[in-house]
Amino acid sequence: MTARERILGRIGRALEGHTPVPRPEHVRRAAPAGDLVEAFCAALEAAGAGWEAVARRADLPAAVAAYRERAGLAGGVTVAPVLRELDWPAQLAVEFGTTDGGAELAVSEAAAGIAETGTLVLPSAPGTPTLLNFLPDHQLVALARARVVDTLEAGWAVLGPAPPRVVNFVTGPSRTADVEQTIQIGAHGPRSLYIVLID
Amino acid sequence: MSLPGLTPRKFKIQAQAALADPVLRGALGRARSGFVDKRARAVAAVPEFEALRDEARDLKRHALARLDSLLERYEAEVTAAGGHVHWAETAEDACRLIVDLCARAGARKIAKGKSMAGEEVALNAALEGAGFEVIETDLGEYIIQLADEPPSHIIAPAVHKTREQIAHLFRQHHADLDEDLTEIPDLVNEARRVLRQQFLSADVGITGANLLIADTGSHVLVTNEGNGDLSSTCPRVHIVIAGIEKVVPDFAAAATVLRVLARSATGQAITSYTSVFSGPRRADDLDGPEAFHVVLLDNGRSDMLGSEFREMLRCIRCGACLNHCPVYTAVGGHAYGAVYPGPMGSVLTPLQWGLREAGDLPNACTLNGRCATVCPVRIPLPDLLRRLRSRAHRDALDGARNRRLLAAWVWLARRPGWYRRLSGLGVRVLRWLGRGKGRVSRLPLAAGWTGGRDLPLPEGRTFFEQYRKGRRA
Repeated sequence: MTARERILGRIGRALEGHTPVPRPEHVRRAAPAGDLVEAFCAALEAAGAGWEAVARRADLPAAVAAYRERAGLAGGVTVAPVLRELDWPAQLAVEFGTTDGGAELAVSEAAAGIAETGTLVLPSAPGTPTLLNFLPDHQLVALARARVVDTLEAGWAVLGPAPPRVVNFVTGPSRTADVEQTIQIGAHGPRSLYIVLID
Repeated sequence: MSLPGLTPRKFKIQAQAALADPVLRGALGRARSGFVDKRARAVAAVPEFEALRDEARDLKRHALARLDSLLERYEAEVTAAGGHVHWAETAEDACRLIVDLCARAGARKIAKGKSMAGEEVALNAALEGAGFEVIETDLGEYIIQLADEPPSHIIAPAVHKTREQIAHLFRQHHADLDEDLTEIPDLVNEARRVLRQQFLSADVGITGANLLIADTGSHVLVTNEGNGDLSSTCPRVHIVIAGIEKVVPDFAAAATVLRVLARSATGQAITSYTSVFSGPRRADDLDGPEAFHVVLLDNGRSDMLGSEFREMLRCIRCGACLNHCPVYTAVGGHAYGAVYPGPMGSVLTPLQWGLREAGDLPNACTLNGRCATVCPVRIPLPDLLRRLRSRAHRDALDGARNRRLLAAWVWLARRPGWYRRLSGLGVRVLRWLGRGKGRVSRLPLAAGWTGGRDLPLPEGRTFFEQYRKGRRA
């Protein structure tokens, strides 16, 4: 007999004769009051992220260049391949793809934003590599305003029935409280998270 | 696992030592108020929080009642996504399986995300014994790895360390660091700098899982630092170790558990990173591991399922019961001598080690009930602790002296006249002992009680004396 059979056998015997327990009714979190996008922005600010709104997707490269200048960055910029078709200014010297830690600033695109918690839904895909969400110091994420949903469940539902390798639900920059329970931003992941909302 | 020097058998000695350590008490005092206040604020912000706790409790009950079919479904879905599921009956089996997987991957260096299941089976010792270099990447776990200590809290492993102690550890272990860092941001940056290189050069990443999702073959990992995601994505092989009780049917169930988990643990609505993983890297992906393995750990859980302790399997390892426990917050985690401390550990450790080894732990509780009031899945921890006490008494493991005293009390309690006379005398003796001070700081024959704290004086007379007086009036 294999370990699998022995474990499942013990579980089966433990459950023998017990009546099944019905699934409870799902408690829906109350939808955020007022406009979903406003609630989303308020929640992501509370989580320590910043944001701005632009009119069109084509405005993203200019917003990235402005952010980089404001933050005084001089290092590498890596952009998710899904944003390759935009007109990226030559002085940004953009690379497309994933990063091995060389990028100081990464730009990617979220599949959804969740108003309940100010969370970005970032599924892995060839066009949106996962390490862009974790290795760079600065994480910029584009999000179409129409893709803001109310709850965590709704954020998962936009992905369809077969999930990708990983879905990162990201809420604010990386943090730790492991030294004297004092919250410190920028543990192993990005020190800064900035969202560009596209109308 | 066995901890160097620490054991649940020596709880009383370890607790005394902890109470006498002013540095530890300072660190614990700071942590206690932080955790309790943060949780209270997060809970107050959600009007339906109590309903969410009910749902989380009932979802876990529902999942445990069909644990076999959920695990089979989970396994089938992981396999369909290109991953491999392994079953471990014991801690030793889990270690052997993981050591074999690392050896077959030709690994040298292993990056670990924080995993309590990994701590439970003493995975680091097994991996290091087999010649692998193991690096803990959660900052708290990294600190205690440098200190060669076990975690003292299930979500804040280094909660017992001060910044001065951490600075000293970094200076000792980081060859290119020649000064003691004094500020918290500098300490965090130093760890980030050193560990960044480790993520990028590790061959295997090992993490735990907060939840397993049956219908998509996924696992959920909750972190704030991002180390779990880096450990799961940079190395070419990813291994997950998870207890079999972690499985829920689908994402909606996971969402409810996540809502109560983060608020109960750190007082956040959701952690910075809550990631749902399903199998290895897909064909056209640019990053992610080539191979993905899950080790499902039993280690006594299937026996708990059929016992009067099934409710303990609902535990989602948030740490709220520790943070609200007057005993844990006074003595810290190491006193318990096992990886799971506090109320949840005082139930789990005796079940895993036996009451002969860990019989003191269920008694290290005042039955004040705060743990049960905050438990996000409503585990009746005081009841379970009481059941363990009864079991120890039934099996005559509670010590000859205790049994004699208890027998004497039973004899007395059945003789109301004597009971009233003696308790009335006791009250007078206590008041005489505490005259002028309002409390008793030394009690003959009960130094165990007054050694660590004063005994408050009884108010007035006994209940019966007051009752009789009231009736006459």
